Amino acid sequence: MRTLFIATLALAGCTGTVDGGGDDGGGDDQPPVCEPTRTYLGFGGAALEASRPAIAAGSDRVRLKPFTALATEYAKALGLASFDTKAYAATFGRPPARWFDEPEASANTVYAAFALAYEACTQHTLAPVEFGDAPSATSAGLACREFVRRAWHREATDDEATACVTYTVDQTIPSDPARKRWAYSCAAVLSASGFLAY
Amino acid sequence: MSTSRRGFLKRAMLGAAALGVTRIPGIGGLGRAEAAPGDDKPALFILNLIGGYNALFPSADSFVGTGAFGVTAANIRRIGTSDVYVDRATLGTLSPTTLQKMASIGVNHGISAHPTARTQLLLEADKSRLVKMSTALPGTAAVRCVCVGATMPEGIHRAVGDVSLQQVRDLSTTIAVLGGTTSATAPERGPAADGITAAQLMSKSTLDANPTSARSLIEGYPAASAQLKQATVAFDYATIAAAYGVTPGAGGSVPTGTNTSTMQILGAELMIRAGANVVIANSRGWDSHADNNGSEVRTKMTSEGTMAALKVFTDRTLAMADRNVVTVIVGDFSRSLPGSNHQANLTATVIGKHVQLGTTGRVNADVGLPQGSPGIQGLWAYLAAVLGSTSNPFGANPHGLVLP
Repeated sequence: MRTLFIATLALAGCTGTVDGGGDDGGGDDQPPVCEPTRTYLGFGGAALEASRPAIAAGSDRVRLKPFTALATEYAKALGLASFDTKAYAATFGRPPARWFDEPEASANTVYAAFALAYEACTQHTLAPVEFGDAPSATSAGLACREFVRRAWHREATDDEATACVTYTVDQTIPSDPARKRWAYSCAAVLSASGFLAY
Repeated sequence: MSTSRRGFLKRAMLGAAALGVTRIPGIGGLGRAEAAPGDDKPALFILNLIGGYNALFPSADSFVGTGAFGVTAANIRRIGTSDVYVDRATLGTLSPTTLQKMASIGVNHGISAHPTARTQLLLEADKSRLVKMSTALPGTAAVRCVCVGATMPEGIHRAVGDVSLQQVRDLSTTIAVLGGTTSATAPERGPAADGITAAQLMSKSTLDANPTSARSLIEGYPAASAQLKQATVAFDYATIAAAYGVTPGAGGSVPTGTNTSTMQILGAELMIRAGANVVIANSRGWDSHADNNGSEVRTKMTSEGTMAALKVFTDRTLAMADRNVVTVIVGDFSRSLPGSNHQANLTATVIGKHVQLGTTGRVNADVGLPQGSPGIQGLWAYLAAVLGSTSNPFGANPHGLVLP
């Protein structure tokens, strides 16, 4: 299938390769560029395709979840009976009824996302036995991957797991109660793009 | 008045140049030093009226002869003995000291289409003028370039270095981030800052693969983390809010949403106090077609609280001893005649400590500016000049009207 697609590109006068990558990157190949077989002039005399961007296949597809969707996912991801997100609703904003605004992040929404996640994660880590002990590299490795599975619906890569473990073990405050440190760890995972974006 | 070494030397050099001396044997002989642009921490507040900014406000006398936009000799106000005339019921209600620090600046941009005017006013090709101005001005705050309110400016305003345009929709989060409030359930600043950085690291592959669609996250993570790492900023929000007439609601808490002009302008003061050096507030609903007697825009300017809040803002910011806050009111363009449609030029109102009372934006009876009036770049060059930027990020100021 891939061979056929590349062959098709060649016939159409294209350069570059399609690596079949997803949103998560990978591959250093140049994006395929195909010479247009037809050109269309606009009313201003400019070619309509002139400003067509050449970007890698599969890139620039990520979109932030609207808060209406995100707000429901804290409870779902962490298995909470309910979770109140009203405190930060105004920070994310909401378009008027029957209107859609493409959500955009900001310093404030990132902080708000972390604060919400921390509050939800505090509830999540309150009772389970495994969060009763302070995180170690081993326990954090397991917990981080589990947080990722719950929140991102996929497995963590090694780099992603390492970032989580490093934060959990080295950057949360050792003198804090273990459950609080786990809550921070969980909040970091729920503040990553894997949870905040589609 | 600043006592900074840079400012001291600058004044000394200027004074020496004025006296035609090349050496400075004694500063005492140069007379009393005045604050100069650049001595105080500069900040720019842009009130952007989306749709247009009718020249009846900053060039009111232009229409006395014809009565266009309902202008009469009785409803305009001349500022002192200057050639600046403003609408009496709106700009004319600003404090006398504020009016003495006002200029009307002509912008001959030649654009009569909304999207083009909006983008070109704030973007120089694909570079954000907002971010460019912010990077050109001194500042160390984590969030220096801010849009207050629900409406972001049109176009993509990409970060330059560590300066990005950040949106503030609700002031409570800003206050919390800056350390103004704490709650039992809120994360602590240090672990939260590191946690957000960890989240950014965990997002790296996605962010790298989505440089445009994930731009706001790419810029939001470091800004959020840096905000939490900077020193806490002490301010009494309730007192600031009260100055704008914003008082606690039924539940006893002071409103923090930026869904009105008043709250946007209050938010601008808050962000400037927190260290922002460029703040924009976009106000919708100024595309006033068929507003032949100007009543629609006059009413809008007052009924939504814009003028009252602007008066408070300019009074308070001009009184800040260590700040040089410049306020500019702009819109897509002036409104044309007949019909209050799209005029291909704009007259902006600029207020600031180093603004010299005067006008380069007096329009004729047909709302046209004089031939050769500078364009958009000239407005930004003027703003940079009154803000005291020494790097001329937008080129030489073609307007003059800068006080030492």
